[in-house]
Amino acid sequence: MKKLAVLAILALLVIISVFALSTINFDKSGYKVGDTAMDFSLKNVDENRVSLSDYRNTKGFIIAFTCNTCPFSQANEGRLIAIDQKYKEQGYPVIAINPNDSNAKDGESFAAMQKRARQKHFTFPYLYEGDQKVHEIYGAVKTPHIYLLNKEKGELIVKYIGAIDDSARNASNVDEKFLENALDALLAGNPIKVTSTKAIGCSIKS
Amino acid sequence: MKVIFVSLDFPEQMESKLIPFVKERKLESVILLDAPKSNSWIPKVDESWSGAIPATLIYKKGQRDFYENGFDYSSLKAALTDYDL
Repeated sequence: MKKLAVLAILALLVIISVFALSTINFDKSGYKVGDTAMDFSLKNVDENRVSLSDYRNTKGFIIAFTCNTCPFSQANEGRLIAIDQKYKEQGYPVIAINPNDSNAKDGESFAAMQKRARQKHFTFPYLYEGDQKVHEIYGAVKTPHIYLLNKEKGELIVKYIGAIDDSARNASNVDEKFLENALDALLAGNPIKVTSTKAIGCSIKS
Repeated sequence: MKVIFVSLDFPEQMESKLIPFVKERKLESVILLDAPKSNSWIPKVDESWSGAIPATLIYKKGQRDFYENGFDYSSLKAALTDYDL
């Protein structure tokens, strides 16, 4: 009992990540709420390139780092579609980015992304990050990982970072809709009460 | 030294995914952490933890190290050098 205890918290569903056991460099830098976010130009599943500057009439963006294979990402796909459909018209479209290196993780290739987007009827762009490492600049470390951006004086300001809601695994057990609360506050011109949250997600494989 | 595996698998996939995995890997025991509202308990494990898994916590009495990553044998051994085993 007095011996050293090692508590290893493992995602056994994410079998490859657990037993490939690559040491992931956790970069704690990246954006904080209030920072200015950068634009990017990434290839969408429809083969067209997407930049945030392409969107002239939006008030901001919901940047969602997500992927094909992570169970937590999959469990949130329906919610992401519903949020896109609800908030796109109000000026905040979802832009999804897959930050996983397709060489480091099976099932994350561009072709697999195209298939996933088609099968799940994504209503939003689903962008292939490739070697551009947008997630490192943003500071995303897992999927899903959400950044809510608001256009202010021509700049994209980070307003919220974290989870979609307080029940990533089970959509029927949601009490607090963190992202929607932040969006509603922005739309109403009110301060956002909860600006960052944490949730279990799959480490980005890069 | 005791190693405790904690799974964050979806409880409804315990039979279909977790148990076959545990058997395949010949793990002696795995705790399925079926705790909702992770935003409230992630910081209690470690303030620096984003929630990304795998993650590892090593502790003995007052000594405590948190890693937002998994380990292989040699890197785990290296992480334990500061501990009086």
